[in-house]
Amino acid sequence: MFRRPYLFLLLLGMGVGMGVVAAALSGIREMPPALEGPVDFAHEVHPILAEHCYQCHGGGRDRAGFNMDSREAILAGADIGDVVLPGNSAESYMVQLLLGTEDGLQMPPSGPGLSDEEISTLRAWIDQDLPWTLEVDAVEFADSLLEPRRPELPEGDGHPIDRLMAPYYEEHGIEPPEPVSDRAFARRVHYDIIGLPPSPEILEQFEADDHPEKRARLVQSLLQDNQGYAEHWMTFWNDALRNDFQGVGYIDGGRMHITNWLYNALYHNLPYDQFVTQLIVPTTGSEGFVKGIVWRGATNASQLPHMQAAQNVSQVFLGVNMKCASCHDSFTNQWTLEEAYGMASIFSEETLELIRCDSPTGQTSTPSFLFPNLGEIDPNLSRQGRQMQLARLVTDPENGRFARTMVNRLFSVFMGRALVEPLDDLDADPWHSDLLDWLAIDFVDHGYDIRHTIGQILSSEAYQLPVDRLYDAEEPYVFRGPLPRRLSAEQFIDTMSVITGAWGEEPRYHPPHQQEAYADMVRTWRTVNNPLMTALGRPARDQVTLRREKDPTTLQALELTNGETFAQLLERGVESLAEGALAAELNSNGDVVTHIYAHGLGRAPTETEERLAMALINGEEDAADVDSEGADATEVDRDGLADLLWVLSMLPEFQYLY
Amino acid sequence: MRNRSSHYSRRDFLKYTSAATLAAMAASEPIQRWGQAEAQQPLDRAPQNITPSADTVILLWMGGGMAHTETFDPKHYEPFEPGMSPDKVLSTFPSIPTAIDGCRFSEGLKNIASVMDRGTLVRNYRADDLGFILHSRHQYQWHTGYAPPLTVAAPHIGAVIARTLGKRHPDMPAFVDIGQRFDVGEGEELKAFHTAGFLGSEHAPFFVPNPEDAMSTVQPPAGMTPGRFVNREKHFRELVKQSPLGEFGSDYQQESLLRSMDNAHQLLNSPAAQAFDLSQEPKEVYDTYNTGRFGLGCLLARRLTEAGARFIEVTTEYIPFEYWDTHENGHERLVGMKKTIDQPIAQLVKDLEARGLLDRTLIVLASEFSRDMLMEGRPGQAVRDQVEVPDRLTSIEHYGMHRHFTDAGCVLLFGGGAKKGHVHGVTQDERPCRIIGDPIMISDLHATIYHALGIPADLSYEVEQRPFYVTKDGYGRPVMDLLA
Repeated sequence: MFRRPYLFLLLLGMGVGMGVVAAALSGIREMPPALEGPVDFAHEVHPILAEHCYQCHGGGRDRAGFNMDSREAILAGADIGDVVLPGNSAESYMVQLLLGTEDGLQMPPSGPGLSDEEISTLRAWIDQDLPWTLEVDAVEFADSLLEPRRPELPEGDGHPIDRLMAPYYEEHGIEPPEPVSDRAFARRVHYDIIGLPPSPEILEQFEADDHPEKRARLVQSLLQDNQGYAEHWMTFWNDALRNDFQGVGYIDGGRMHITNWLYNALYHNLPYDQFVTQLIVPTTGSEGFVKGIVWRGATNASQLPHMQAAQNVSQVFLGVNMKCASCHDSFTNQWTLEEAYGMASIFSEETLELIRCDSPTGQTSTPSFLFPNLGEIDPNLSRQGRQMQLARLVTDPENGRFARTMVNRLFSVFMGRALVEPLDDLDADPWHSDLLDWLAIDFVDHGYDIRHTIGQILSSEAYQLPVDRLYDAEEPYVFRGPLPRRLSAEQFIDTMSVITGAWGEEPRYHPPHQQEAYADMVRTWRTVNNPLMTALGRPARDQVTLRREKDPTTLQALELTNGETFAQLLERGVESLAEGALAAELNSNGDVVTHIYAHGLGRAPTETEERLAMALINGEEDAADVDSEGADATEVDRDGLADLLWVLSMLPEFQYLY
Repeated sequence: MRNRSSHYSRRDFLKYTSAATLAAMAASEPIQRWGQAEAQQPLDRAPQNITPSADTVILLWMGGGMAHTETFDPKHYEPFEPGMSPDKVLSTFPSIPTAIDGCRFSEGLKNIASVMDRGTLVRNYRADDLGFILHSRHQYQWHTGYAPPLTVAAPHIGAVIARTLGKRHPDMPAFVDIGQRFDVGEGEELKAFHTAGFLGSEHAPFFVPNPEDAMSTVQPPAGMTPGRFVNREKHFRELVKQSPLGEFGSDYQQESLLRSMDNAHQLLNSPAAQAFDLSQEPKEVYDTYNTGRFGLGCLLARRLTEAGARFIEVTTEYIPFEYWDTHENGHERLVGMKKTIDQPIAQLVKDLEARGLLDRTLIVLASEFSRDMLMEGRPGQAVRDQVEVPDRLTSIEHYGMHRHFTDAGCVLLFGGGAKKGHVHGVTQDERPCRIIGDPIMISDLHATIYHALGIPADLSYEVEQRPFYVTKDGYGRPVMDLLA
């Protein structure tokens, strides 16, 4: 997908075959001056060679007897003789050919040729005696620590996260404000653990509870809700593992679902190391992840199933982006084509030949792991044996990156921003490395129990801080509290269902071990994507998604304002409120309004709000017309009720986790 | 000329874009790199030195595989006779003259033929060889420039243009997609490229599946009176005002949520929304276009062009084995398909011209590949036959281009800087009717469209810290011979 050498047919062979004498020729294009200052081979020169020359003269190819894989090879020249004169670019045949000779010879032989800038760069390189350093310096491609690290916890008896945060606050001159109210906290943790708003009864009890540990206890009790937890986290993992009920590839068997395996893994809180092992070495039902997406027909080498597996395992479990390197040595991180193929070979039955930007290199690949310090892959093992070895290396407790990647992602889910950004690149600097490392080691100490780490984060005071309202994407990032987060498509629609009692239709999955409390709830994740969910950010899942788009968009607002899907959802909601199971409990229009506010916003309406709501639901033209008897009315104006639901659900207070 | 930093490097990335990148990441907005330049340029200025010749693109999509020999590149016509040998049939229609001397079309396209003096006919488009014929995959590649599967979600060309050039009219969605439904065969595959991909859904297509009912997409939901709609909005505003702002999210987020609502209401309440209402057209104009959903789609495209849309796709619609996807009875089906497209397209060209809009509107007619009676794939790269062709054609149902041919195909261009009365490329007169000389591949066709809009072919957007080029790997080359 990204730049690759243009397809050139012939290179030096033409000129050589005709017996041209290089030095006698002058280019038909004017020779641009050499670039001033020292050139950087890895970033400035090598990409030019890779782009324009290597199709015929790289990767072991030596058209016209000329190979450019190393400095020595270039200096050895071509069949005809020297191609470059070190220190003298003006007289070098290579530069003449790049400019085009009077005899009509030009390199590359087709296409528009190199730009003046590129030629200037190559001239400088030749003049500077062809420096050849492919290694990239450590500053540029920061390579984060691989092994786990156990930071010392600062003195104190508070929550470990807060003890680690204390010096940070001090350093940044931050005085943490008071934690959010019980109501706001309860709403946050409910959405974050089970994806649903708290019921009014729970809120009331929670507020009345005077146990000093009540917040931690609420977190713990929610974490024990297996079904609620599993149903909420399916969304996160379906995005990450690109699993869905329908989509590209399923139509002709080019893709497999892992829904049932995944649901059970979450329900039973399968430890994360085993979870990942079962994805890398598939068990019944988990084959889909490494199988990937196969379209009929020929596929670019960088997207063959074994390479997809290499990319996805690296990205999702190790925070390594191998997508560049699966086509050519990456220009943006330290990974090479050989390393990408080493990973891909683990998943391949056949020995793989390295394909650089769609051209075979002649070099074969050996199965290998990204971090050989941790151990090797035995190429003599069967495919399954290699995958087992890979799973062991990925989940090796000495592989600190595995745990860090996961806790970093969890932190991002709950705080709106990760400790290391970008999310997929664990080599970048964390804004608090002790916190990252401590969360990771604590995760490992507790048997890779994801729910444990969720509990750690959610019971910290850092999580309980009010949202950082001042945040405006400034850099460098400073933590002042969680960022406001938007409800996901699934949370948004589920909340509407909680209010109205009208749940999803045509579920594509029926959870085993159905809990009584959830008996009638068809959670949104169990239904197929629709225009409303798409607008609210549910991805197509053809690619790994580790963070959804979160900004409101015009098309999204249009979908919410006049989209058919949402209009129907509101209609079903009204139907259910007026005639469904809830109707029996709601004896008056006043009850309906109270119910809607209690479930939707977790509070009672203010006086003004109540007046407006009553006007709508009673079908009054104007809020001023509502008299004190209004709340006792029992006749619901259905259009008004639909409008009330709409108005409420459009409020930032409804749509954001604050 | 390329910038010195024409090659993407981490150092440049850090140096130039670190803060901006992270800010953009937070705002879910990919960074744009004009030919790898460091800074974003204002969107209303033509990048580099390309002088744009078009502001708007209308893509007329012949989904399903339009046979070049049956439309714009006719070959020897052999009338149907029971028992005839298929290898004698290159075209199943006689040819007709066009407004260009010496250039002939297949019968049934006389209206388009009559406006060819305003356009360019490309006869050497070649679809990529993807190893197997799968309409949705070839269409994906045509629309994004990249063949799936992909490591990142590639944007539709319309989304790239919408993102790069922005809206022409503040109330009008930049990218409108007319006529394709997704609850049809291969619907998931079609959905996969009808998106803005990683560019973000702000640039996604605004769908009008049924042009006749286009107004419903910019009106209050069915059954809601305008008065109620206005009231609902009013109530919302009041409650927002009542809401204890401080507690509920940052000002930034609150504002962006409200802004998105404003934008939506702006369209719904804007006079520009009237452009979606085909009933405002005089009856005779409506009737001229009304050959069905595609024809009305062309009429809607004309109205949206006037109202300020940036990129409009009108499709004959792809449904497996329907419309252009002729696996049998191709001849008779094509009589209908030509009727569907001929008059509306010609009228669209004439109407835009009459309004003085044709000069700045590039109309592109294209299909994912062509068809042939015998050849599946292309010579030397033949792929598995998907259609049985008998040795002798015993029934008229056998008479037609039923296999998928990728080696040559036609593209039409009108307006927006395309040459007038020009034919580019030649194909052989004998089967397999291959291209003589160089073909135009998708990257170059896209580069030409982008060039007309002032967008360089190596413009890139950043995703996951990598550059994603608007033509494959940045290597599209505009075909200057197509442009005036």
